[in-house]
Amino acid sequence: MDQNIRFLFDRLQEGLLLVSSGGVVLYANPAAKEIMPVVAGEGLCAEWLLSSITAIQRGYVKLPQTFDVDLQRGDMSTDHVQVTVLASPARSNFIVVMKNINAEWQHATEIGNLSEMIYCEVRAPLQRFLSSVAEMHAKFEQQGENNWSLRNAVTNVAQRSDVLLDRLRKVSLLAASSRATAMYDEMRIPLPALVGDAVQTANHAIAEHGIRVSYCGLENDRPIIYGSRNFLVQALAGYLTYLVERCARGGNIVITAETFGNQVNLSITNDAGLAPANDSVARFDSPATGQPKAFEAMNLTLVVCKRVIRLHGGNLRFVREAGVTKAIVFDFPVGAPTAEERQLETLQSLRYAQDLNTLMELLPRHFGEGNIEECR
Amino acid sequence: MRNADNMNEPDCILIVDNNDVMRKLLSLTLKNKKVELVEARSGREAWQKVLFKRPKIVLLDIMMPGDMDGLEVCRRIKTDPALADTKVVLVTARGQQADIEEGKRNGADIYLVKPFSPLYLIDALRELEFSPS
Repeated sequence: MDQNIRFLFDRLQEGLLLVSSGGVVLYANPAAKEIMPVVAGEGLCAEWLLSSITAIQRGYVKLPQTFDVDLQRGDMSTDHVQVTVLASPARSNFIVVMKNINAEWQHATEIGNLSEMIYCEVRAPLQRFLSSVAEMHAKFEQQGENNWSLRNAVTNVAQRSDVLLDRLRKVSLLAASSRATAMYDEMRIPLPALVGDAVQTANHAIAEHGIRVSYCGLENDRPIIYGSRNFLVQALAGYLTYLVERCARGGNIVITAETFGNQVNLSITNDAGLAPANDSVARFDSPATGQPKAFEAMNLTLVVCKRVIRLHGGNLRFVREAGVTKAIVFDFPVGAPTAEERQLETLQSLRYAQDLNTLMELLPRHFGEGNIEECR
Repeated sequence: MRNADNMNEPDCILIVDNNDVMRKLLSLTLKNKKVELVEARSGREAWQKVLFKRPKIVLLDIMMPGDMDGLEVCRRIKTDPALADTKVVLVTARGQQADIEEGKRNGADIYLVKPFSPLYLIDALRELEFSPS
C-alpha cells in the first residue's frame, strides 16, 4: 500500500478494513483494531462479517451494504457499530468501514424514551385539565352573566388553552414520530451490571441511612436485558432510594433475581418488611396519570419507573401478603440470544445461502420470476 | 378480508428479521412478480406494517431486540379480528418443545426451526395453501 494512503488510513477515526474475497484481512487501521480483534494477514474471525461477504459474493446482497451490529467487548459491555461494506478499486477485495455509533444510538434511545414519556405523562393530564377549563367556560357562558370580570378571565384562559392544545398536538405529533422510530431497547445490559449501576446511583441515600444492600443469584447465568441502560438504572435506583428512605437505620435490602423462561424477575425487599403503604400501592396501580408526587425519587416517579419498565416489555408489580406489601418485583424480558443461538443465526444465513444458491442453479427459472410452488 | 378496491392487488408477504442478510435471503426466495414483499427489521416496525399492509403471510423471527418480539407480534395479529386472514410463520433458533408450544399458544400457524432450508419455507407456504395470485 502506498505510504501516503496508509498514513491517511491510519489516522481515520472510522475503522477501515481491507478484506480479500477469501476472508483474509489485508489491512486494518488502528480504529478498526479498537472496534474488533483483527490481525493483518490472518482470516477474519467475525462470522457476522464473513456471512455478509459470502452473501455479497453470491450476489444475494448488493454493494454497498450498510448494517448495524452489536459487538461485545471483554467487559460484557456492547458497542453498537455501523458497518458499510464496499467493493475495493481492485474489485476482488472488499473495503469494510466501521463506525462506533454508541453515542448516537444512546441519544436516539433516550430521545425516544423522553418522547414517549412526554406523550404518555403530559398529554393525558393536560387534556383533562383543558377539558375542565372548557367545561368551566361553558358554565360561565350559561350562568356567569353577573360576574363579568370572572367570566372574561375564564374566557381568556379558554382561549389560551386552545393555543396550548395546538402546541401540545405538535409536540405529540413529534413525540409519536420519534416513538415510532426510536430504539428503546437496543443496548445490551447484563442484569448484574444493571443492579450494580442502580445501587451505585442510589449509594448516597444507602450510605446516609446505613443500609446494607445485597444481591442474590444469577451471577453465572448473567441474563441479558435489552434496554436503555440510563432509564432502567434510574428506574431501579428510584425505587431503591424510595425504599431506603423508609427503611429502619442499619437495615438490609435484598435484591433477588430469578429467571422464569424468557423472563427475569428482580425482587426487591427489606428485612423490616417495610414497603409502600397500601393506599400508595393502590394509587400506584391506578392509571399512570394519578398523583405521583408521593413517589418522587431520583426525579423519576415510581409511576414513571413503571412506564419505563413497561416500555421495555417488562412490568413492575407489588407482592402482597395478608394485605401487606412485602416486595416490589421488576419483571424483565430476557431478550438476548445465547451464544449458541447467535451461532445458529450465522449458521442459518450461511446454510440458507448455500441451499438457495444450489436451488437457483438447479431451477433458475423458478426464482425471481417463476412459480415458487414448482420448486419441489 | 379484501374489499373490491384491492382485489387486484398482489398478495403481500411481510418478512420480519433483524438479521439483514437473512431478510434478504428470505426475500430472494420469495421474489415473485405476483407477490408483494415487504420487510421489517423489528417487532414494532413489523406491527406497524401489518396494520398498514394487511399481509397474507408474515414470516416472523422470534428473537428480535426490542420491546416487541416475534411472539408478541404474533399474539397481536392473532387477537385482532381484522387480521383473521393473516397467517403467521414463526421462524426461530429455539427448537425446544416448550418454545414451539409457546408459539402455538400465541397462534402461530407454522413454526420453522433454524437452521432450515428454502425448501422448508416453500413447504410451509404450501401447507398454508398459499399460492400467489
